Amino acid sequence: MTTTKKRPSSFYKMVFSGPHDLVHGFLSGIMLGSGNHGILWYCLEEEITGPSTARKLLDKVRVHGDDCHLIVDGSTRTLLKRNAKKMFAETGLQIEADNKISSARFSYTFHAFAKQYGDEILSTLKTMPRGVKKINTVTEENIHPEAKGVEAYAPAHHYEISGCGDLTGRIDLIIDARNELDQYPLVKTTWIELELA
Amino acid sequence: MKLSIKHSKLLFFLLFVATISLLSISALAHDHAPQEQHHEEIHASNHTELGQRLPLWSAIPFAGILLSIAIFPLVAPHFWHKQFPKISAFWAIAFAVPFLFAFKFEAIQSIVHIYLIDYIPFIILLWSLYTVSGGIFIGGSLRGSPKVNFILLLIGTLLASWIGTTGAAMVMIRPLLRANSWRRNKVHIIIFFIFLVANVGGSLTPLGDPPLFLGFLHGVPFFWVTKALLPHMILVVVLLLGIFVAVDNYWFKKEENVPVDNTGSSIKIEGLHNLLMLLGVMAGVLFSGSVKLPEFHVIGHVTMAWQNIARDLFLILMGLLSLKFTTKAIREKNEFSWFPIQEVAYLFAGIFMTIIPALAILQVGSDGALAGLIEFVSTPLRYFWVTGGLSSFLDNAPTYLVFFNTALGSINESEVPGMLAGGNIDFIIKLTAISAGAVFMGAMTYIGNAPNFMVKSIAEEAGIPMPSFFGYMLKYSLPILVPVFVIVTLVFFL
Repeated sequence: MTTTKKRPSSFYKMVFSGPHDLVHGFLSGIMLGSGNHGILWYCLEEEITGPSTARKLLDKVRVHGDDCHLIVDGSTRTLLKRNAKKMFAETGLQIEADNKISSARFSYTFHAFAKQYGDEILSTLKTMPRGVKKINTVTEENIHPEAKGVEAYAPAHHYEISGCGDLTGRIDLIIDARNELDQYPLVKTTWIELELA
Repeated sequence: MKLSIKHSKLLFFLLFVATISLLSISALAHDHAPQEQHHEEIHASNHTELGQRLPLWSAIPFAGILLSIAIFPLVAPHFWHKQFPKISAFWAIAFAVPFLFAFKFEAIQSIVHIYLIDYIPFIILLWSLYTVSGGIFIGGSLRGSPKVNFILLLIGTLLASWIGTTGAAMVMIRPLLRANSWRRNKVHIIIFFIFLVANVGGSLTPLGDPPLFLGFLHGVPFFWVTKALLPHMILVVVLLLGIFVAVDNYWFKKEENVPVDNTGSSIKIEGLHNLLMLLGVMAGVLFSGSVKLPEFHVIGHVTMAWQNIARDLFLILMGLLSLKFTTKAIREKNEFSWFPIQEVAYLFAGIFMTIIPALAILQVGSDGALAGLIEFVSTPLRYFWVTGGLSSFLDNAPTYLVFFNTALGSINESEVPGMLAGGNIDFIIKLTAISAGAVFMGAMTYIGNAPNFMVKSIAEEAGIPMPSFFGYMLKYSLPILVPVFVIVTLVFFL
């Protein structure tokens, strides 16, 4: 998810019922046809919780379910709500849920064995955009000068840094923050959780 | 008088060793007592009889040291890093003191024998290979595409049999890491490197993997293993490289920002003169296996052959020449240090001391305390899987030696070359299974073979999120290696 234009301030989670391909096709069509350039993100693609674990796993092997979880902005929501009746009549697709998102959050952990990587990760965490709040942050750095060098039977790292924490804030900023952290192979992130209004 | 913390720890350690030793002495002396009336016979007795008298629990220090090597690096790496020489010494003393007390001259003979015949040549070979291979540096910029990675893995695999798995891993891991530094998905590359370069590749000569050199020291001809294991090695390498290419292609297609391929434009190999020293090492080992010079008496039944002494001196010379003619800069680029060889020296000093009872018991076959094990591992299939299974979790060199002795039973080691040359099919296929199991299955876990941990550690410091001990097994070795070894079993050991 990358966009340079001004971001909306309100986001909604909508759940559509209907065959996966039909939902995707219909939503792409309606967005294009209406000239709406608003936001439409699929929860499974952005790794946002909502679908069950079983659904996530099935989706990985392209077995799609009959419900589709979306994140939309206000303009897209209005467009979809306005066309809900017509959409149901013509395609059978239905809006099952529609909630305002008050905040989003995810957890991260990292473990690095070289100062360079630790510094890069910490620097990225420090420069998170305004609106992304760090909570429960724990960082532990250990240096063992005696363990410097290559070992075979007694492997120990001379430098070790690990940390964990949660990032919380507006959903679009949180998606960006998570994508940025995911650039580092040594950082593990959880799926994004939503707090609904 | 106040004791410092350091002195208190040492005192505690010594007291602990003394307690264990005294307990063992009383027990061994008790077991030994009924035989004291045959004192003279015991003095005249050979190793075989020693194996009949040694109880199974005398191998506890052997199990202890192997389990220490397996468990401490995982649960307490920094403690182990500092204390492993003491832990090795502890297990060695825990066996040696009661053994010397109870078996006196016989014990001295056994200890002198294992250190002179096995330990010292073993350490000299590893030292010379490590020193020589540490003087070769492969530099330049390669782009880690599936083709380049395939070629690097293949070169490493072929190299491993000639410079040892540790040497090949040390020489090849950094070029592989540099070539793939731009890639996001690269854990699998390091895993296949461990499979192929740090383990399977070392199966073709006694220089390749420590177990095979121990076989060589016990009479297995140098090129026997090349001939015997070549088909097995080819099958495993073809299967693993085939899987690797498929997996690497899959991940390569997912990469973004693929750099321009300038492979070949600046590949540079430094320290090539070390190949001459490497040939010297090989020549030295071959010389000792093909020339029969007179032997001289050391102590009791222990004798040494002049060709082995000449070999060891020549290997030391090759190492020294490599040190003399290789610039410091090359070794620094390889991050060469003596620590890995010190680790081997300390730990194997303990392993070779504590392995004495296990070997002696196995040598007496069904007359010893391990009769059950000997009866169980009666087929090549079982030799392959039991040797391999144990080599997965314990160091593969002592494991090989244990099963080599199991297969040998009461047959004298001097008959080994004759049995292998003369077509003793039963022994040949068993030894093939033991060798394949010990070398191949060292790749099953991080602790199966020394270079595995070394590669993991280097990769982690290069920013690669290597899987945990169990993650390695569950995600990689069980789903990939076990089916490959099942195919090897079906083709060769059924």
